[in-house]
Amino acid sequence: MNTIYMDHNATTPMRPEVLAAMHPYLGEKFGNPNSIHRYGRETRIAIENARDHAAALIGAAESDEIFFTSGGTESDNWALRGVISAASGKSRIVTTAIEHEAVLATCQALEAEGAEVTYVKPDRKGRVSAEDVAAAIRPDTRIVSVMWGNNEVGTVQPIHEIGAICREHGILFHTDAVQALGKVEVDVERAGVSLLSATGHKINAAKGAGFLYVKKGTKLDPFMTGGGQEQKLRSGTENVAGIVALGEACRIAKEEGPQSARNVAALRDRLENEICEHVPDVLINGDTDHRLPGTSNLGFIGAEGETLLIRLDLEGIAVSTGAACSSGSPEPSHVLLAMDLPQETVQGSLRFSLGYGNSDADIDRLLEVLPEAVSKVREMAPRLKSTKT
Amino acid sequence: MAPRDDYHYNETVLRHIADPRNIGVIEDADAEGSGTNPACGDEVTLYLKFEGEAVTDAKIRILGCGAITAAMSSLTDMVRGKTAEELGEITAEEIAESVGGLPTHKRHCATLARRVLQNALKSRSAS
Repeated sequence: MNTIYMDHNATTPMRPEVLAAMHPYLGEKFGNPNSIHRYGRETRIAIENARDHAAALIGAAESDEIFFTSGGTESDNWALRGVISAASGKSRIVTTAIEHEAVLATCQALEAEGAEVTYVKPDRKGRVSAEDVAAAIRPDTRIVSVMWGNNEVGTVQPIHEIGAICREHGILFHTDAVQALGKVEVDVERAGVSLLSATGHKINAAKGAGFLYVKKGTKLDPFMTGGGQEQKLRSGTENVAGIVALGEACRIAKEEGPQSARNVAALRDRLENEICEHVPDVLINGDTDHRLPGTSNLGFIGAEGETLLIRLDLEGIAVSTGAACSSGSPEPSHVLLAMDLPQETVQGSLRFSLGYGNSDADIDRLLEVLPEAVSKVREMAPRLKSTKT
Repeated sequence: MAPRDDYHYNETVLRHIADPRNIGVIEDADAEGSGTNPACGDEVTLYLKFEGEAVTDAKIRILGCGAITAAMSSLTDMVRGKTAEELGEITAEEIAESVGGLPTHKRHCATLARRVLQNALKSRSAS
């Protein structure tokens, strides 16, 4: 069966160039970058090159503001815990209700340890207002954490405005840019960002390597202690191959990002327009004026997302759902709920996320399968609830 | 012992989702039961037709996830030929086992399926 991957917000396929770049570091170039001998020197150079590419992609002033980690979750944990741990006195965090669980669960853990956290709600399109963030700031607020682009609905947040507010108040600003990196222009200096989380596997690199950008002068305690790697702030022998892949993916994203984003957005718009044309009762979840280029989250009223997902999967098309019962939790998506969407929209939501490798032929195939799948799932619904029979 | 993959659906469940059995309505049903799961919004209705003491036909309507779809689809086969008394003894575990098991986070769907069956039996005894 020919398969089509439309779940790039979950993870992405590795690009052949990236795989080729990392391959030697899984084989003959196995040295520990902290060793003094030639094996170590060789891998150290590779890591520092990757650091340069990561720094260039996000507009960091210095490459040594990039600290390699195991990925987005670790970077989010480190940013929040590291800042709170380094701060003295009472701590308050301002974040949003639609963050990734890596931020939300960390905030909840910090609350249990005595921090106070304000969760700013988004509007019905999943966008947080900078004014609401500003209004939540108190004298003891240590850090504001707002994601750059949302993983479920793709809404891009007003990062530059929030950055300006944080700068004005002298507060650290962390952003989880895991979904945004490589898809929209990310410039930490212009955006006023103090800490930024990123991961390789969302930009066609390997799983298990990411980074945290830490602006010079930011007070941050280490999260992993040990041998003192990464300027004594993130111990542990570096994942050399993963970091090399991440660096290569950053280099490519810097070079091709804007054009790829335009291409992917055009595909996404076609997908969305044609689905809305061929399938009745579909709502777009998210903010079409401020959205990641590849993301389309659609609510199929009177259908159930997971059942649709599986029907598409059995036809070889991989998509995702943030709806109920989908991810090990009986509760519906916290993002769609925070957007105050009606239950039937939440229940019938599917996320299509496009990226490297997708083509018009994929959209053609989806359109061959999806209308019938939706219609079949709707036909199964109980009489009273069903809007389409 | 828990299965090695307690997250994904097994092949039996997937087959039920792809082609659920006995979707529809029995207009002159002898028993009808419904149930919802407020947390995720699943809604299910079960229709039963009896001849004498035994079930001869069962149909379902579902707006719900894969697990409840598979559980109800399988239940429509399980109930055939059984008496009301026998139906009352069907457990959620038996329903889950009939589809080769459900991931732990989906077991509540088998419980909902059993509740819908119980509601149908109550409707029969009430009529």
